[in-house]
Amino acid sequence: MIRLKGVSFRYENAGEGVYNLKDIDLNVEKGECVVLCGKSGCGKTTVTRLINGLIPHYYEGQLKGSVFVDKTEIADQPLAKISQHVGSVFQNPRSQFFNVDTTGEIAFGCENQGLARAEIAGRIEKAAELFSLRDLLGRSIFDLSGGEKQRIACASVYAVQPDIFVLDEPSSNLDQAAVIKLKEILVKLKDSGHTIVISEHRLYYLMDLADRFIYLEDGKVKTQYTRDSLMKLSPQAISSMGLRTLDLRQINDQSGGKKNDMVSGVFRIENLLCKMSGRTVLDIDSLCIPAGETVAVIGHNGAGKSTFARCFCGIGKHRGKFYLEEQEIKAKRRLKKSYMVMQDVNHQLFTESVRDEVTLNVSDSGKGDLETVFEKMGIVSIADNHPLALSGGQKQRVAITSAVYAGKKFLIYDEPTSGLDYESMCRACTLINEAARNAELSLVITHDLEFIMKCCTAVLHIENGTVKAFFLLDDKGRERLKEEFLNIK
Amino acid sequence: MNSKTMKLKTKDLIVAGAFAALYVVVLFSVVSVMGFVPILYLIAPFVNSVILGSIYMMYVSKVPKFGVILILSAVVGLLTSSGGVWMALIWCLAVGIAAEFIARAGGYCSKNFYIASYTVFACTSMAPFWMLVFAKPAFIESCEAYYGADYAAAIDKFTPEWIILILIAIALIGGLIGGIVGSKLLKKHFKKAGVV
Amino acid sequence: MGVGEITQQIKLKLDPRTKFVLLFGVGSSCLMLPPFWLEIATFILLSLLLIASGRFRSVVKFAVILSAMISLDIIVVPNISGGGVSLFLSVARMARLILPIFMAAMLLLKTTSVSEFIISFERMRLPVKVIIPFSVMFRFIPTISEEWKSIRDAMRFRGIGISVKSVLTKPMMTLEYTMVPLLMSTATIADELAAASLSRGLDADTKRSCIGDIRLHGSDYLLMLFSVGSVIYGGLT
Repeated sequence: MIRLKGVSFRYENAGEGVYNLKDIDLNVEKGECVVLCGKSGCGKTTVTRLINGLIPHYYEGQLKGSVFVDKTEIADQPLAKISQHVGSVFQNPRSQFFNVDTTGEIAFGCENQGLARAEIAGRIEKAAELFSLRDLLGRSIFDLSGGEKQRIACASVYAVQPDIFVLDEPSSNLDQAAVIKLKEILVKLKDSGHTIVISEHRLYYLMDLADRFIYLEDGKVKTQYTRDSLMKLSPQAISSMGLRTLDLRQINDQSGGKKNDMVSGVFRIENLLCKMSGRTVLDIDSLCIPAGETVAVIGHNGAGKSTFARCFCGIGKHRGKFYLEEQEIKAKRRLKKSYMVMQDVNHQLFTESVRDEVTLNVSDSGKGDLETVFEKMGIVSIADNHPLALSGGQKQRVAITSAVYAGKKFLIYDEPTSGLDYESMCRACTLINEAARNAELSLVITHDLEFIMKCCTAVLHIENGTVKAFFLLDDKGRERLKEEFLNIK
Repeated sequence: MNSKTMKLKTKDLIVAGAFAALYVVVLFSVVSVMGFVPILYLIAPFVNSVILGSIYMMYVSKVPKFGVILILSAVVGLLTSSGGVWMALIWCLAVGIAAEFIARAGGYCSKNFYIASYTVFACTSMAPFWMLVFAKPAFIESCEAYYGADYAAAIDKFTPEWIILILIAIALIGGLIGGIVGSKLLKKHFKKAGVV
Repeated sequence: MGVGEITQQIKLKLDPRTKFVLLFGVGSSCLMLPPFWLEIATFILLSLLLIASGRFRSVVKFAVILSAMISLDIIVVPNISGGGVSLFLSVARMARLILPIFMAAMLLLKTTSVSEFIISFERMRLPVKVIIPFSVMFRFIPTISEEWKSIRDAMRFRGIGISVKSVLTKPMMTLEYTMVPLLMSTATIADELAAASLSRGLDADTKRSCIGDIRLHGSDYLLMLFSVGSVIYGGLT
């Protein structure tokens, strides 16, 4: 079905002689489900682009070797033709929609082919039926959660009826429940005989679905595993390959984060109420969080996690009072003491060098030595680079360093590990723990169980705009958290 | 540059649409904040020209091909004229054609030609104000009927016909500044970071 | 099933071309200062159209604004004089003129899908080089406002938010800190969007079809007639 023969590729803007992919040979049979895995930057996304034709038709560069899909060479066909056989779902739900309404989006591919209206309507019907999307039809794309967007993306590809599905890290922005829904969709696709190629960090949801795992390293195919041979590897071996866990049940990290013992007292939040366009999104009567903890904020997409974090740091409009040791802290004061590391770190890089970025708007008095902070956060080598030229992980590190150097006390992280491989995830952990040593509270909005077990000291579970549970991550807490994650349907 | 890469591809058209969106959102935000306040509306084209320079510069360096400037001017023109001021469309297109040819003269790579091109293009930022010329007689008339002759005279005094020339001049000055600022910003950030 | 489908059934379906003509007509007639009865008639017509497209809440807001401005005219105007106040009043008067244009623009933008835009532009015989940027633009405007909100938050955490003070004291710095992230995310999203839409066949040579039923119905002709009529009426008086 898909055949890559001796393929090497170098992106236009990559360094001279640096090939992003080197001599790749790969065969995928009809009806197979193949997972591309490996560390960030290993070339798995590039392989998906070879198959869906974005290379060489969209991303320019030097291409050697040949890629065949269905016995025809990709390079000889226009993208529009390829799109009828190969459907693509991308990582970022925010940027892959051409339409503003869901129905229009599902119809988009068919409209491009000029199919008759009745035919398109029938296909939308079928896709909605198969993926249970009925409730989502006719809605605005901008009102959907990440998981819903990803399901719409799958449906819109399905409507074109391609034989091959190519997915590039589709689960990056999804919560646990949405990952399970995505898996259901993939199972249905496989059962109906589609060929599936997925590049992915999170492997656990693919374990009873994928036939083969291709492990890439530095642009080369290092090893190929069958499901069974991969399962045989020990959890340590998987981690050392830079891969995420294969089985959520196996996560047994006892390390955890460390509470900041330098601060004492309790944050008390009372009668917190937040409304958005008339709808109550958050309604918390009373909540106590011990100071110094690193709190994982979990819950479904849209449950109110981000709203809670925004209220806490005083940037979101709300009613209610916040106390630390019975002293009220007003919103304005909280905002001054807070810093949020956003999911899209690009939004918070403003200056022309890492050094400027970190010192931006920090008054000189008593903020400690800049070089020491750089050392501690491991950004000495990139101190003079332009922030926008850094890799995603490095950008995140710069953002965290800015918060530390500015002496911020409330640190909020919005899904800091989405789309990170094992190594980067561990690095993010170390950084967050390092930053927490001077913080009065760290809140981490996340869906990543492996990460929570490694990094956090407490869990705040928000559901339907209220607190479902708050507990410390002691031995009992760990069991409870794992239980909750595994029971999400 | 060869002729093949100079042709606009669908990819370029999508990028054009995205930047046009950014351009008009900023344009209309500034106009709606400042445009209705007497006196302040006089500097709205200036402020707009300065701010929009960065967007223009980024846009033309992302898609350095013949036609993109014209597309942007058509979009701005169609949007500003959709309220009924057809003059705005003609104005924008004329300005766009001029700016396009200046950029072309610079071979779509000269910094100075781009700045010159934007200085001209910045005149689109006063396009919404053609309304002043066209709506004014009727407006004054109705003010007279509603509020009396004194008031109408006061309004008339604040918006003489030649104000449109002043607005154009202001837009041009703003355009020069905006072009230089935008060009600097581009060099300082996006060229250095390898984005364009 | 459920609410979504039901509201869709009662929603009024107008041809995008009609909405364009309406916007242009309302715009022209408003700038020519229509008589009071026409102003109200236009307002009511647009309100009904918006309500029929499920925009009841916005209509209520518009109605409140309009009645406030009208009562300002009736109650305050006869009792005041002086330059400063009359300047303020002229602002209110201007805003009253813009209101219907705003409503017509809302009707066009919020009730037309991207695919309907494309098809109606094609029927208007616009070249593809205008159609694609235009359609992408309509899709992108909400994206930009989303990005902007997030960037503004990020700025506030760094204490470099946009305020009257920062604009006056450090205009260039404020401009830089605003523009760099905004341009960066526009460029990134545009690239990703282009890749995604091309890989779904946007480039195909075949003539595009449209899921929506784009045809001119009786109601479309009536509305166009109204638009043209109000322009001609405004021109004659």
